[in-house]
Amino acid sequence: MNGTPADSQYPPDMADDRSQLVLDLKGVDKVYGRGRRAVHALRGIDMRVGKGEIFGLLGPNGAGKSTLVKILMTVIAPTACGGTFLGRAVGDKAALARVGYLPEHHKFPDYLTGAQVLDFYAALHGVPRAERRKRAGHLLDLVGMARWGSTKVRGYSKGMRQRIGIAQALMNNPDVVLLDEPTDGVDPVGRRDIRNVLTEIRSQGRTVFLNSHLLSELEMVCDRVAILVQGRVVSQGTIKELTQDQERYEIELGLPATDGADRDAYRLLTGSEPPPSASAPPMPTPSAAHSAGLRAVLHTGLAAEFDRHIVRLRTSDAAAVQPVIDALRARSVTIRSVRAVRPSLEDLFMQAVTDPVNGRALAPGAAPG
Amino acid sequence: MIAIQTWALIVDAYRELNSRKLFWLTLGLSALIAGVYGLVGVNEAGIKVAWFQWNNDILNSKLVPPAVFYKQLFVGLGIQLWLGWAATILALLSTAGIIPDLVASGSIELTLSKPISRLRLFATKYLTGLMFVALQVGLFTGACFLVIGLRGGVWEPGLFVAVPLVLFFFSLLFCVCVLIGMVTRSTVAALLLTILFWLVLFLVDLGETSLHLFRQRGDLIVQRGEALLERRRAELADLTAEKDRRAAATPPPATSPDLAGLTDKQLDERIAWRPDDIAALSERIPKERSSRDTIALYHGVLYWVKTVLPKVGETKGLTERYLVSMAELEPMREAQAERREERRENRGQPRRDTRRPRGTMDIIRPAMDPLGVPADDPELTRRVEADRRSRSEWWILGTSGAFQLVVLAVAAGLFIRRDF
Repeated sequence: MNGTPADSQYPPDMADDRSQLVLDLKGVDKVYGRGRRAVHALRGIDMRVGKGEIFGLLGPNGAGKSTLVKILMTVIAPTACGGTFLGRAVGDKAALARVGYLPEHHKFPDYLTGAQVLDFYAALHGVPRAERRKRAGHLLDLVGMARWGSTKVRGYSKGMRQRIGIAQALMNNPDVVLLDEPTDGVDPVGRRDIRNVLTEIRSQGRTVFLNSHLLSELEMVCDRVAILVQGRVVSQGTIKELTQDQERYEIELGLPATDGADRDAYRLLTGSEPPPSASAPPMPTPSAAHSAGLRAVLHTGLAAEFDRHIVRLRTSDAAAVQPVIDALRARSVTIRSVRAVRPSLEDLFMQAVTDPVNGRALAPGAAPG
Repeated sequence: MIAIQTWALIVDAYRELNSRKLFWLTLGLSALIAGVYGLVGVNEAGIKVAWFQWNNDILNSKLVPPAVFYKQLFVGLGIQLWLGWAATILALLSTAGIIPDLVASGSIELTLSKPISRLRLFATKYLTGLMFVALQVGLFTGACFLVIGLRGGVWEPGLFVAVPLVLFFFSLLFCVCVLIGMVTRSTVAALLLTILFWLVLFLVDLGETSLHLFRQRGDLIVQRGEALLERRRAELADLTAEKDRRAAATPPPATSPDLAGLTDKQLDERIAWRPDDIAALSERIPKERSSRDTIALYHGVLYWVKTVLPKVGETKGLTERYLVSMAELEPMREAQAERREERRENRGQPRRDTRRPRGTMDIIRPAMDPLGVPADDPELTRRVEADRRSRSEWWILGTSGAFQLVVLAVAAGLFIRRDF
């Protein structure tokens, strides 16, 4: 299938072979309320998720993550929605038979035991009784709840509820699992166990759609991510794709770490005086999001930013850095360290939620209609 | 898949009920009442409760056959009091949370994310709520059926008509509870507002019943007044003719031996007050008619208000209508009326018109209001009862069912369209 112009944001395999997609959203819109009170929660979401990957959806509070997930799970009706979910139109209940879901702040009936919770929700999926019994035992074991299966949910800790919730989401042997904040309230050991479960699911060729605030957790397991801000997807792709043009080298100079050090470094590398005011917008690197350092294009063609005694070079090529090091050494400047820096998911996230004009964090929440 | 899902929801509803103490409390009380029911018996002397005999000249097996007695007791105690009031409140307490719990945040996402349509989910949840009452009514009626059979020797399968009727009665309140629960998402609001709605229905029913009684009483007063006026005119004509006959030079033969036996003085006494009575009646009857018409107008308005509302009282009343015929009640009613008249006589009051042999004539003008119709007038009671029994099942069940359908459609529409 030929890709449309919008396909350019996706990897070639996703743009060409849509049969490999479990989720292919186009122009998802959601407006809550009417008139003056209308809130535009989602504004034309385009998103693709492939088979067998762990896809992370991140964004600040009120960005529309849960709204998007709820639309997929038919809990909320979209204002406009194109595309497919598991090959069917979004909102088609039949597709949900192949989906497992753990909502955020879920509440299981407290008169049920853990095993009964698994049995009940699997039965709502239409799983036959014999199959339910078999899977419940296996999944309770998988999430480390085998000993607590016959205990009423009301006696569970938050972490135990999360574990049962994940098992519940897997009871129908789904092709796609949507987990909304699955590690919420779970201790570090539990988080590791959950990560292991997720990778296990992926190894079985199933897809995991993860919605979490814990960026480090996502970074450890996600193949691809999308960042949602104020109802829009601001970037999506693999972490490598999203960070490759922002990889850089940082050279720490042996200059005093004072406010004037950046101007000294500027003079040393450019041979000219820095401009009187350093009001130019920062280089769009995540860690510099809040600084307003000096910028220059060096004689080697490299873009550089001066932040006190640190020089940032916008390249991932070690060879391109050598002339700069040589130039500094030729001027007898002490070099304390040279390191390659790759932005973390948190850096990406912070960049996404930062206003590029004024460097301030964007207001959380959805935008008024 | 549908069968698996439906069965899962039913099992879940059972587990939920099982976890609530009220379910077992209600069941225990039902068993207790059925047990008490079994202690009560009727014999020729009166009523026997356990070992205690209470002799009664109205409530005994000579006037009330055991089958009718037990059916009446079942309707009065079991249906009207227990299932129709106390158990219904307990059932509402137990089921009011079904919809608020379903739509609670954190719970609804899990349920809606399953491949089950919202309409089917809503309908199944509603029906599982009714399951509570079906179980309670079914077990209670079954227990009463056994008690009547074993204690009274009467096996009356007609008793089981109470199961669908009480279930329908409860569903009329439960649908409102469901709608309020859907709108407010609050169990407390659903429960309190449903009970308030029930109170409104009770007051409308009370108002309509009272106006119906007054309307029937007005009818009776007008009819009796017209009959009395006709009789007074006929009596006056007969008495005047008798006087004229005697005044004639050659009196023709007497037409009435009774009148011929009166002395002239007695004849004059009887004639004296009748014109006044006729004038008073002629003046009063139009007023009574006008009063009756005003009441009939108000009653008509309230009747139509009641027509669009669920008829919880009448629905319960159908149980009695189906189980006990008016003919079966007649001997007891007549005995009660006779007893009341005897009490009047014992208090020095004359028996009422209805019990007086036909053809007799008042000698002196009655001191009491000749058109007075007390609320316990046997004829009035019979008419009101007959009129209420003549109200069709369509009017009672059909219009109530239509109300329920509308309320459920609104609740289901909200559930289907709402974002959670």
